[in-house]
Amino acid sequence: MILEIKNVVKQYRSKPFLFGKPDAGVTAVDGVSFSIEKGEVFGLVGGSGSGKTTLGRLTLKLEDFDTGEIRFDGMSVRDLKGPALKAFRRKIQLIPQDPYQSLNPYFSVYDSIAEPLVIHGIGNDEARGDLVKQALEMSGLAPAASYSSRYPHQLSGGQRQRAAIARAMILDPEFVIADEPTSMLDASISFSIFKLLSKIKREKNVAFLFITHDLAAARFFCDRIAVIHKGRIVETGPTKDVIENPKDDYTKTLINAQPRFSYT
Amino acid sequence: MPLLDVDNLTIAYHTRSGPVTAVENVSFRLERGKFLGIVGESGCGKTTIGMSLLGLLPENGFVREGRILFEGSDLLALSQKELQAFRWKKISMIFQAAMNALNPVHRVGDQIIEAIRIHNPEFSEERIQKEIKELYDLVDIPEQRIFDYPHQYSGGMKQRAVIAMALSCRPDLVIADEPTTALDVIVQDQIIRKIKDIQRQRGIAGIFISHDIGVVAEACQDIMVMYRGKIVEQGKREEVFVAPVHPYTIALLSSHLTIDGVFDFHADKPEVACDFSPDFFAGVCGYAESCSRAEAQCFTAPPKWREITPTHKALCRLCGQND
Repeated sequence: MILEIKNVVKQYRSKPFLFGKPDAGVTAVDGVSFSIEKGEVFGLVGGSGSGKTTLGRLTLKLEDFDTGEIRFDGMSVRDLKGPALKAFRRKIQLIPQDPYQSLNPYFSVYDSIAEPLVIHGIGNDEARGDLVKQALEMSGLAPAASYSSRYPHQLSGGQRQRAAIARAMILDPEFVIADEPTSMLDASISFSIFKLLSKIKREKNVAFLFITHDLAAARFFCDRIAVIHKGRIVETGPTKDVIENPKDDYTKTLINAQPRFSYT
Repeated sequence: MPLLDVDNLTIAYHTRSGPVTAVENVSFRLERGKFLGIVGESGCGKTTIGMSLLGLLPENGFVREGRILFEGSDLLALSQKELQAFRWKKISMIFQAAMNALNPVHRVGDQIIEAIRIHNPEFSEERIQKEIKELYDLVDIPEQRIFDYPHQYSGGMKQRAVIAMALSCRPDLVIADEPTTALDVIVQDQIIRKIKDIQRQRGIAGIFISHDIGVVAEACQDIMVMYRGKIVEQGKREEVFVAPVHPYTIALLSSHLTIDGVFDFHADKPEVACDFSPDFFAGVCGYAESCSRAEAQCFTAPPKWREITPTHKALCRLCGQND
């Protein structure tokens, strides 16, 4: 087991205005538990505001949770600091939603992808060059030489997302969180991104937490899924079972809302 | 007479390196009360077609050739002033990123009333009040919310308010450019149902522009598939989505993920090439270099229209042959 989440609760409170009382706050994540095995693709499916992105941020220790426990590789994520935190950040990576905002516009593709190597002090210039080249080519940006000196504005949306994937994979992580990695892309391009992620999963045996609102994408990519609604997991199981045999009412609503190609 | 008759439309943009053709030889007809879907990837020219129907091409865009007949009158021959009388009352548009189409410092109701007042100066105050209540009723937003500000609306409500605005002058034709992109699937489903309801109730015609073929398939009876500025396949929804013939349509459909796997029958799931080479319109088939079936001729001579049924045709010399 690589990730174990137990009864996690996260509340957001707004600051009181002048003399007012603090409000009750919003419970974004309300007692969520699940676990992910090594090399498994786990999908977290829910609508806007369901708390799915918050859970991703909590797992990455970008934010702290109120109660509960998150364990990564047996270590409690809450207690990580110093060198242990840095080692943790090397093993877990994020593929962000919006490739138009996630790449620094002043960094060339090479600099963006090599930055994690610099931060973690891996290799010399030459070794880094080789690693970046490998990462680019694995992500489908080949030949690497023709992409590495480009800037984000010289890339299409699909190419930007491939560069973001190359950056996430350069440290050879064990676990990747992909937060709606294709919601900004055309259907045909998002399909090629899913094929790329499936290839990475197969070849590198990486585990994924895939955050999405799109059940069709989850069906293609995930081994197991959990449906999240208002901060709670309402249903979980192997992808096929959940989609073909939904038990929960919200899951049924979500499935019925998918566009269909039956012309009645 | 069809409501809209677009004939051989070619649109280009002036750029620093000379004019670039964005839409080439596009022809289609739309009957009253029908919905037409235009699908294709980013940059294939679908939004350019929508904008040209309203005379809203950006300053560097121009119609090089062709005609746009609306109820028999040529839209391209109208002056800006004549067009203004035409816009919204006859043809209106639900813009892409409708979430940002509302002015944040004006109440939503006032923005819709402004559209009604400008295009119907003869309306009395009571008449306008009546119209806006009807519109809110039509899009299922409670009356008390009419004079709220945009930030008080949820994403789906803003989208519905923008639909109400597009319908405010009772147009005959509504152009919806990616009306549900950026919305949650559940909200998207509600919006599509609403648009279909309104089509039934008011008998309006519509053009639905989207890269999401699922959305288009739900809302439209007729489908056009575009690739690199050209229509490559055209027909009834059942023909194009159930029995596609153009290799590009087949690739596009098989790249579309569904929860019931309807398109998984295209076994090899060919990938759609996303890198365009610069020689966009060299008089040969634009898809040839990515096409798995291409033959030598495809690279040397222009593709031909093949008729599969009287309503279904494809721009490909190989389609419709016995194989």
